[in-house]
Amino acid sequence: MSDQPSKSGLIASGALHGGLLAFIVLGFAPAPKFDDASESVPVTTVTQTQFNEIMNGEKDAQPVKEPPPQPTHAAAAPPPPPSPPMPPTPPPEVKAAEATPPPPPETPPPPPPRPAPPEAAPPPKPLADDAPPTPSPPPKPAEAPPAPPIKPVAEAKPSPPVRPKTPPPDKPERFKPDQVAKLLEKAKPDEEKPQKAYDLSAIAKLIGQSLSKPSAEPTSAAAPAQGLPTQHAARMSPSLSAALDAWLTDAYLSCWTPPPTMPDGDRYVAQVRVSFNPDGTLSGQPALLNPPSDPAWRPHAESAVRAVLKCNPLRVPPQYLPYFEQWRTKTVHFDPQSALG
Amino acid sequence: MRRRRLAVCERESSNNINSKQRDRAVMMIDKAFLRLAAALFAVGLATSAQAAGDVYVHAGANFTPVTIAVTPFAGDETGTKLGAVLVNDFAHSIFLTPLNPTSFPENITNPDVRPNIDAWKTVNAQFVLTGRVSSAGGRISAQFRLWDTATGEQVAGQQYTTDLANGRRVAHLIADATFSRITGEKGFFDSRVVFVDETGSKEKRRKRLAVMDMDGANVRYLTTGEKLAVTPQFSPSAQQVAFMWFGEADPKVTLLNLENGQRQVAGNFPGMTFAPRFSPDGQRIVMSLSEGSAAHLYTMDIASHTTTRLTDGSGIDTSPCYSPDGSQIVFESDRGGTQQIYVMSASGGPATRISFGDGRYSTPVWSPRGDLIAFTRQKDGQFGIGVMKPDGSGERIITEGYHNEGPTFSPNGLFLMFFRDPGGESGAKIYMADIFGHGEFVVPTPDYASDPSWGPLMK
Repeated sequence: MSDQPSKSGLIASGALHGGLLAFIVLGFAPAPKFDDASESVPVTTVTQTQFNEIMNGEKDAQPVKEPPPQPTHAAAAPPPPPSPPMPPTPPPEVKAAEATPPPPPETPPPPPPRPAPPEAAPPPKPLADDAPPTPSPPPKPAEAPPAPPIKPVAEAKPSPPVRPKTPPPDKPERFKPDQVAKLLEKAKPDEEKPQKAYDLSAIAKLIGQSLSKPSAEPTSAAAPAQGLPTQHAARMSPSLSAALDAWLTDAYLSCWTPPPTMPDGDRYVAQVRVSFNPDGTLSGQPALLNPPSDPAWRPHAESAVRAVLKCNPLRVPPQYLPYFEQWRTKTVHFDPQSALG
Repeated sequence: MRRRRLAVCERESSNNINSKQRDRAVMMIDKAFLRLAAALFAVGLATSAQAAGDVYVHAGANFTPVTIAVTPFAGDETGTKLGAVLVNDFAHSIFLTPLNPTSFPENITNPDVRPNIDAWKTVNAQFVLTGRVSSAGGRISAQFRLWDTATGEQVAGQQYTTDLANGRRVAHLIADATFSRITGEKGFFDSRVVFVDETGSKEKRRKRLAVMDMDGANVRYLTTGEKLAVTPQFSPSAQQVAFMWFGEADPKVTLLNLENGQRQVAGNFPGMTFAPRFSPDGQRIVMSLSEGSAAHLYTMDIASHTTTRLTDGSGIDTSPCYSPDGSQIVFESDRGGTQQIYVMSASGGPATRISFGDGRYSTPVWSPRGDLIAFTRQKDGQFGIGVMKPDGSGERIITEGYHNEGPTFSPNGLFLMFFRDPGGESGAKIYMADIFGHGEFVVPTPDYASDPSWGPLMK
């Protein structure tokens, strides 16, 4: 009597499991096909001791002796457009401060020389304002009377930066990342077209450097082949690749000072996109991929970006230099988990 | 009938066995499938976690403070004093470190304009603080701007106005705002500490209650020293202090209002009362009352003077301290044979021992954050200051030697002060350390000093 349900259960179970297996097998079927002319992938078979030796080698690695020929790379791979600045829209007050030219002329324009008028204004009734909270006549020995409370008068809205009527004389030598970014932005569409409209000299002019004979220079023999990611670039063996990641982890750990404690709630792990030049310098501002929704985690996010900047330039050990394509961009995850032990 | 019932039972039992075997077989198959599925799932996860180009950094034990350049404040000469207080604050903040002004790449002439970020980066300044001060008519007005060199943007700014006499407090407020913005933690510079000031020879030591700014400035004496006053405790919510006062007859727990100087004895008990501590709302105090060879914990409502007994037994229960939410009390007791730390409900009842390391544990203090309990551990003639979680786990010793005692938390729960008495003819000094043990330094006091109790942020 009780056989029926069990049997049917067994059948149902078998059918379901069969279905699951079929799903798993078939589900993997439409995996992308390999290219016909696939390049060979280097594979190393190493013993545990060999692997340890590799790791040891990382730690004692000599700093880069000779930087690879940069111009070549620069020509081959135009610098990626600078990643968007961390806070997408800088607060207005900051903007204001930005707007002001560097050290403004000693004689600023007529407008209120020392702004922050609305904030600074309150003082009319200062004493009354400040007195009540902590009166505090000192006990017997009258040393220094307990401090009357101090109220932040105002959020010192970064004083409406004196806006110069006429912009001060240009300082051509000053590097202006915004403009470069804009130009690169403009140049982007052209980039899509077959290299024709790609005007290196324009960018070079903007950057303020002279890129003589950009692409004509041949790749030096010592320099590794650095083809496009999909083509025949040198590939690291899995163990070397793991060692590189371990080295990067150590490097960023030594540059990172996370805030002392973690806010309550779900843990936030900042992800920072980092782009390098072949010599280990940053090729653009690090980009925070996942700004925290909870402002309490903001200092953590900022500490991650600070770590990337502090580690710039990275002294990439020579053994990784030939494989630039594989570390040209990295996403670094900064996990505060073990900060508290 | 009986046989038939037996037979039925047998059949049922054999049926049971069959069905059990079948069930077991099905379960085994299920488990096998589950394992297979789990393995496939794990492989999938691992593959996705090892996404190419991703590097995973977990915060480690290494620690480097964040660098900040405190540029001279523009304005009159009060700016120089204010800047000095600021630099001193940061130098003792452990998590921030002020840069040496000799390395500054530029003179800030206009603090309202963005500094030359690239130049500051070259000297490894992660933040730059600019500001201006003006004083007139007995008032001081100060404003600051904090610049993050990573983004080149201003990340904080504020203006304060107050009496000229409070210039140091303005500096502490600026330091707090800066510390908070960079670390995400609450500030702690604008706070005060009560302690026992000790002068005179070892045999004839004069002990006075005193209060100072947390950086050791503005020391003010609260008692004359004719009568002994010890173990002061700052209220966590008001400018009020409780201490043990050796006035007439038995020593009594006494309350002192720092603002108007009023004193009152806490409760009317027949024996000696000691080890007072305020509740988080400042409305009650909890303390020990000696009863014969034992001591028990009592609470007293400050307004109504009604008292409630919390513990009993033949042990000595002392050093009580409320959890920040007021629901629990941690205290030390020798009820188990040696001094150990226990936690119980704030209304009394059974207590749970939480200290199980080697040695004797005493003077427990609950962090204002609620996450840690600090203590003194005595072991092999050494006195260590340490912290543990409220359940007793995660114990770590922050400093150890002869003779450390009496930890007290900063209002943000990130730092501890305690006193260290090296013995001999010299006396105790107050030290400050962070709860992770990254750093430690002495807090300057005019003479020897002990029994610090850190008060709340000023209002």
